[in-house]
Amino acid sequence: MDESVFYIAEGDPNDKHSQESFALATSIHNSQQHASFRQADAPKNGAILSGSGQGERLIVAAPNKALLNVYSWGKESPDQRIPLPEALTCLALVEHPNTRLFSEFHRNSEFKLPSYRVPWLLAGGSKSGKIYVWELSSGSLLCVKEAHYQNVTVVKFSKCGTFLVAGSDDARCTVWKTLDLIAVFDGDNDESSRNFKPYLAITDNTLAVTDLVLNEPGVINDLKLYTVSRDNTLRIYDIITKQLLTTFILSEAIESVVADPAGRAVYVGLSNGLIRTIPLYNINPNTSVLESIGGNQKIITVESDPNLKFTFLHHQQRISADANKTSILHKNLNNKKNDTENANKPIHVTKLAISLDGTNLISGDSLGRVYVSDIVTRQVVKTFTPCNSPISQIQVSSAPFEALNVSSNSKVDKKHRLIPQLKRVLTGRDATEHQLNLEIPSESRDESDENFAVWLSRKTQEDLEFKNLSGVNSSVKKVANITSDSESKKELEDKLAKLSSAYTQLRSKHEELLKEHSKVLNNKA
Amino acid sequence: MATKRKKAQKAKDFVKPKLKVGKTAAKPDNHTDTSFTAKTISLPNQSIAKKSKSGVSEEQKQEIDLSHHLSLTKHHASATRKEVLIYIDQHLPSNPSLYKQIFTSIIPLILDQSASVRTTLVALFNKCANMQPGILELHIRSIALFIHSAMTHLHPEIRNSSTKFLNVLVEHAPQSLSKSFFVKTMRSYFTLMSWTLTDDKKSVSLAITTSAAIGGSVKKARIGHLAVLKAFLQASLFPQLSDSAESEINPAIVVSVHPQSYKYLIPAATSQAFAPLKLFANELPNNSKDIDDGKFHISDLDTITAEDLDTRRKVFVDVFQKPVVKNLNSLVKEGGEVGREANSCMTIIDNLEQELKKVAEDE
Repeated sequence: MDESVFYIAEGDPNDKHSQESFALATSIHNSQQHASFRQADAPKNGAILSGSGQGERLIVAAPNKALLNVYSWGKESPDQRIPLPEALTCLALVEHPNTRLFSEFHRNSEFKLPSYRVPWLLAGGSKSGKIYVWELSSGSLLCVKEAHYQNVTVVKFSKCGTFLVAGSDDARCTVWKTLDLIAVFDGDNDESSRNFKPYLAITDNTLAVTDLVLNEPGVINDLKLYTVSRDNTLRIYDIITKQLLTTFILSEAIESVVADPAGRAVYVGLSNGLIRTIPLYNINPNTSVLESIGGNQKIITVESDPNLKFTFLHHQQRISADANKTSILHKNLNNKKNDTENANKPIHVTKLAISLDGTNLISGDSLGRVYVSDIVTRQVVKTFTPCNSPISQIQVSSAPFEALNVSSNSKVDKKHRLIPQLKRVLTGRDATEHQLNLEIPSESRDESDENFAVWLSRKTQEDLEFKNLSGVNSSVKKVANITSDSESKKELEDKLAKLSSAYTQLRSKHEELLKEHSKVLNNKA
Repeated sequence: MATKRKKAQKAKDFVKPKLKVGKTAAKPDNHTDTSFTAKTISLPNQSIAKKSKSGVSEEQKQEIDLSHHLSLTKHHASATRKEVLIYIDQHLPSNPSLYKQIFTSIIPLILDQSASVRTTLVALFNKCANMQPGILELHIRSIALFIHSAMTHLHPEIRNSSTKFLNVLVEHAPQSLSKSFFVKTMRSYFTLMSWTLTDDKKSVSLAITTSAAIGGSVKKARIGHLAVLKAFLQASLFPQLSDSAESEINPAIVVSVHPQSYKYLIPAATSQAFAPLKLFANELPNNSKDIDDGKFHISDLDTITAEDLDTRRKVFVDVFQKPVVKNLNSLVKEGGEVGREANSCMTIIDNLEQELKKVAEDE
C-alpha cells in the first residue's frame, strides 16, 4: 500500500490558458510520483479527486469559467471539458452509501472493482451562493439551491453521505440533508419540494468561513463539524444535536483546518504562515486527570506558544522559496516592484491534510509550497515540487502499489472512460425516465484452484445464510461419536470419580475457610 | 640593392623555423605575457568565517550562516569538517524546521574517514537529541542505514567507531531502534565481530580470514562493541518501563475513565510511531520456501517485522542465541577487559532465559 498526496494550485492570473499550471499526485513515503495533470488550476477547494489509482478521476472547476475539466488517473491532459450553467468555486463528491459499503467489503475479496466507476453525487458551490448537485452516473442536475448570499468557499459531504455542509464568504455555514437536496422525484407539488430549509444554519461567525472538516465517525451520532473563519475562530459543532460545543479563539485569521483521524487534535493553518496544533484532550498537570478540552459551549482563547510545542514554523521561511523561485529568467521577466510586493505579502497556509495514521501533516501555502511534516517533532519530512501560485487543494488517499502504477495494457479506451455530460437544466420529475447504467464487476476469485470440497462448504454457508432468519450466524458442528469401548469408558469414569472427590474436598475446605472468615469478622465486630 | 634586400626579407617569411628537441619553442611575435604571481588565494566559498551581508535581519543571517556551514560538511579537509561540526554544535537553532537540513548533511559523516570528525559527530548527535526530543526517531531510517553500513565497512577504523553511533540510538531512541531494526542490527553485529550465524564451512572460513585481518586496534574496540551490544540487548529484549523523555506521560498517576486511555493520546516523544509496522513499505517478496515448524530460520530474517517484544525474543532465541553464546564464551576465555564485557553480555542472555522460563511456567 502506498499513500498518495494530490495537490493543485490556483494558477497564475497572468497565465491565461493555464499553460504553466500543473497538479501532481506524489507518494508521501517514497520518492515516486504517481500522476501529473497538465493545465490544471482551480479556485480554493475547487478540485476533487475521487481516489488514487487506475479508473479514478480528477474533477476541476476552471477558475472564473463556467467549465469543468475532467481528468482520468494516468492521463496528463483533460479528458473532458464540460460546460456548466455557472462558474463553480468549490466541489465535493460522495459515494452512494450502498455501493460504498459494497466496495469496502469486496475491495480485496470477492469482486474486482468495476473498471468504469463514478461516485454518486457531485456537489458544487458557485460565486452567487448557489449549490448545484449532479448525479454523476446519469449526468442529471438534481438540485439548484440558493443557499448563501455570497461566494460559497467550501462544500463537503459527510463520509456517510447523510449531510452536505457548505461554508461561505457571507460568514454563514449551512448543513443540508442530502435526501432533501435530491428529492426531485418524490414531491408532487413544486413548492414544498423546492423550498426546503437547511437542516442547520450556523450564523455564529462574523467574517468569511474559509474551511471546514467533518470527522468520520462509526455512528452518525458522533458526527462533528469543525469550521474555521477569518474572524480568528475555530468552532466545533455536534451536527445531530445542532449544538455548538467549543469555540477556540486564535491570534490570527484562520485559512485552513484538518482534524486528527482519531479526533485527538485539530490543526489550523493561519494567515501568518503558522500551523497551530489544538489538542482536544490533555492531562491536567495539577490533578493528572485525562480530560477533554472544551465542550459545553466553552470559549477558549488559544495562548501564544513561546516554546513552539504546538506550532509548525516552516511556512514562515521565505529564503528557500526565493531560492526556488528566483531563477535569473524569472527575475528578468518580473519587474522588481512585483518581487518586493511578493516579499512583503504575508504567507497564508492555504490547505492542510493529514495522513492515514495521523502522524504526518501535509500543508500548502500561498507561495505554492507543499510540505509533509511529522506531527510529533514538527519537522519537515518531505518537500514537494512547488507550484507557481497558492495551493488550492490537497487530498491524501491510499491505494495498493499495483493500482497506483498505471500499466499500458489495462488502459480503457476513451469512449468507456468518459462521464456523461452534466445537464444544465434541472431534471424532469418523471421518475420513469431516470435510467442508470452500471457495470457489475466480475468475481475476482480464481476458479482454477478451487476444489469440490471448498465449493461444497461455500454452498452450505450460502444455504445457511439464506435460511437464517435471525441476525446471528451460527452453525452446528457435529462431533464424531466416540466408539464406546469399555476401556475408554472406564478411564472416563475414573476421571469423573477423581474430579468429584477433588471437588468435594475443595468445597469442604472452602466452607471451613468461610466459617473461619466470618468468625474473624464477628470477633472484630 | 633594394630589391635584393626585399627579396631576402620575403624569403625569410617562408622559411620554416627549425624546432629542436628539448628546447622550448620561441614565442610568436604577438605573444602577451599573462602570468601573474599572488601571495594568497582566497576561496570565500570554502572558508568558515564568512562575511555576513548587510541589510538582512538577524534571524535570516543566522539561517544563511547555517546553510553555508552545512555546505562545508563536504569540505575536503578533515580539520575543516570537524570545525564545521563544532560550529553547528554551538549554534544549533531553536527553530525545529531547520533540523531536516542539518541531519541530511551530517548523517553521511558517520562514514567519514577522519576519526576526529566522527567523535565530534557523536557529540553533535547527542546534543541534537537533547534539544529536539524525537528527532532521532524521525530520521532513524537513514541514521540506521548509515550505522549498519559503518558496522560492515571495509575500513577497520570506521567499523570500530560504528557502535558509538549505535550507542546514541540505544540511549535516545531505544524503542524505535529495536522495533524497526532489531534483526538488521543483530546481523550487522555478526559481521562486525566476524562471528558466523551458521556452521557451514564456507562462512566459517570467510570469518576466519576476516578475523585474521584484525589488528590490535580492532581487538581493543571489541570492548566498546560488547558494551553497546549489552545495552542494545537490554533495550530490545526486555520491556521498557519508563521512557527517557520526561515529557512522556506517567501512566501510574493518570486518572481516566479507562486505565489504558492515555495510550491513545498523540505521543509526546515518539515520532512515526507506526513506521515499524511497514504499512507503506514496498518490499521484495521472499522466495525461499517456508519451513513450518513454529521457529524462525535464517532465511526468514529479511521478512520478519520484529515490532513487538515477543517476536524479538523469539527471533533472538531461535536464530541468534546459539551462535552469540558460543562466541561470547570464547571471548570470556580470552579474559581481561573483553572477557568481563562478554561476561556481562552473558548475564543479560541468562536473564532472558530465566524470564522466558518463568513465562512458560506461568502458562
